[in-house]
Amino acid sequence: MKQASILVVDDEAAILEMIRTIFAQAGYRNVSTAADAAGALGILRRKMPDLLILDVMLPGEMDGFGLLRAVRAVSRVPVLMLTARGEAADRVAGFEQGADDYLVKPFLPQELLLRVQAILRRAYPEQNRCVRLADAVVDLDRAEVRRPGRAEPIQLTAKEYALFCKLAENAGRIVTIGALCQTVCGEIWQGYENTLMTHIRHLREKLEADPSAPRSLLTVRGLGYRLIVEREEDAP
Amino acid sequence: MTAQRFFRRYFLTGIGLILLFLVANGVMLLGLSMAIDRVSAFRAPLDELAACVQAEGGGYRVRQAEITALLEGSGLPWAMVLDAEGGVVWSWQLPPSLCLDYTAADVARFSRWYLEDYPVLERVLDGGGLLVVAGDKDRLVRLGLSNLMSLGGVRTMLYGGLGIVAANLLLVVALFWRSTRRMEQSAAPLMEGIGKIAAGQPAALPETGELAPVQKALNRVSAQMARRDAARAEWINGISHDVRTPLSVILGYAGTLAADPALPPAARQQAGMICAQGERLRDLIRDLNLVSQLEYSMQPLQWRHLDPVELARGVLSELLNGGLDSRYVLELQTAGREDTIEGDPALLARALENLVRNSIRHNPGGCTVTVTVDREPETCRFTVQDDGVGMTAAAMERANAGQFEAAQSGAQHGFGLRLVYGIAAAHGGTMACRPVRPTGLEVTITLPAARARDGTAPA
Repeated sequence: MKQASILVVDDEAAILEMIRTIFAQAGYRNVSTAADAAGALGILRRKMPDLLILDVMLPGEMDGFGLLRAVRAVSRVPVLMLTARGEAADRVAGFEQGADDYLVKPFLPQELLLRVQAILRRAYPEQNRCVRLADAVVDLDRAEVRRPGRAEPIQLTAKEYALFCKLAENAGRIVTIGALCQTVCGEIWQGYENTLMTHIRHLREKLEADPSAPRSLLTVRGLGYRLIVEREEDAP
Repeated sequence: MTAQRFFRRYFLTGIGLILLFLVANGVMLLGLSMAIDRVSAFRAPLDELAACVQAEGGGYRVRQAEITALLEGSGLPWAMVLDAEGGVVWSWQLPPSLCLDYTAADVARFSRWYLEDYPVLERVLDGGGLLVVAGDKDRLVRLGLSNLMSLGGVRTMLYGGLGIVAANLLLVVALFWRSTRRMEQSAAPLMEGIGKIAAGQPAALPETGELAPVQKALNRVSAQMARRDAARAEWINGISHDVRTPLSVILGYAGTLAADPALPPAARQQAGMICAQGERLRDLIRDLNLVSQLEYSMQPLQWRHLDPVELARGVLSELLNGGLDSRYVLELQTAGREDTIEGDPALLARALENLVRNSIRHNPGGCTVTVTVDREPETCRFTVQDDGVGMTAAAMERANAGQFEAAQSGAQHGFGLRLVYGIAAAHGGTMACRPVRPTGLEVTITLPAARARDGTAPA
């Protein structure tokens, strides 16, 4: 993931320099920058990067949304809009024109890095990815759980797998009950909370050595659940 | 000029109304008198009767045949002639109950009143005698000294009089109502427009009628105010936009330094402090922009059906995911039914987040913040309660009254409550603060569960 090529387009040299520093410190070595749409198009014609970070307000005839439209005409490369315009209407316009995410200035370095990681993970899912928990290792490609002391892996159902992926994507963070319900049954999820609890119970039975005292899939009372991941690794 | 025309028109209308009133009364009175006349037309032929009685040698000679014909023709029940001493010297069909001799006092009494219930009319004859004729006592009443009127006439007069009084009352009420209605039709749009402008809302008055120039002027005032508000909001938006870029650089480098393991711990801690203050500045700019847009009604609400409990879960989760210090405990409680409400999810989340952040910011020693979502059939209540230091009574009173002027609220409160107040108001809801015993603050946002269907939120 750290090898991903990233193109940052912003008219502020200070912002470009800062973002380059943030990425460099985080280990991303393949970061290029452009100060306007024309410069960006020049780079894009040579080689399409793995991720585009676009400011909305750019000098010249083409603004960030125009550049986004031009890119979308030829490529599905993931795009993160980075802008000082934080109005709801601007965000909606960004998403409508094909942006993958929207980050409003000013932002913390960690916010930028987390968004970029999430976008890259979604856009370029790694093969043979495993999630190591306190009492189990989950193979995401096979949707199965391996537990020490058990010869046979335990299979996850489709809903358990969807729930686990949602929790793993947000590892360490609280995922609300509504967001989890939405993952398994779509936009209209009201009244699904009890069924969710059943799925979580089954998931715990597969992930935890002692499901009544969970160490990985934790309940945050009233709010949702949090998955504690030891580390992500490639499958053996 | 316009005002003069307007008031001259109302003066002339007033005069017209008074004239109309007088004419209507004249017509009614004339009609009544004609009606009375027709109903009670009674004429005693006193002159003709008196002509039949002639003084002759200290007595009177009566032309019997002629007077009898006259009396029978006029329908009078009886008649008599008194001489100068009061004695009856001639009579026609005189009831036996009547005496034949009258004193001057008797004459004075019956000439003004009744004689044995008979209304009588008199005529002085030559030689000091008196011709007395009686009217039908069952049909006629005395009216004045020399007129008799039928009971039907009296009834007509009484009912006619009452009718005129009633008609006058009706006329007065009708004219008054019409006049008030016209005044209302002219003035109501103006007053409504002035009210809207006073409340800071745009006014669009119809520019027609006598007051069109005044309405045009008010429309101009409204448009000017809207332009000024827009300019102010745009200015604030521009400033906040301009501040975002340098602040991004500050936050970016401070964040990078704070996370750099190569730096000494003290330097990283200081970078962390720059970062924290930068974040605070970012929140202030964000709130300032939204407050100005809400106050100038420039924030279009993105109405959605939303789950209020999930909204609160999202806000608290984000705060906890952001790495909240362990001195603070966040709790969520729910009550009432499980149902969605209509509202702008992003704005409501901002309001709730601001309230929780307020509790955190004002209680550096730590506190427990409890968010309660109470969904009633018609309303939804978000209550944010903490057990911290609370708020002064004066500040609470001002907040509850919606007074957030900088000089009054004090800089330390930022835009927190002002923003919450504005967001609640934009949804047609309210915000209320109250102290918690023994210590703490409780802020409640009460929202209507459904959007007002006329598209406007109540103030």
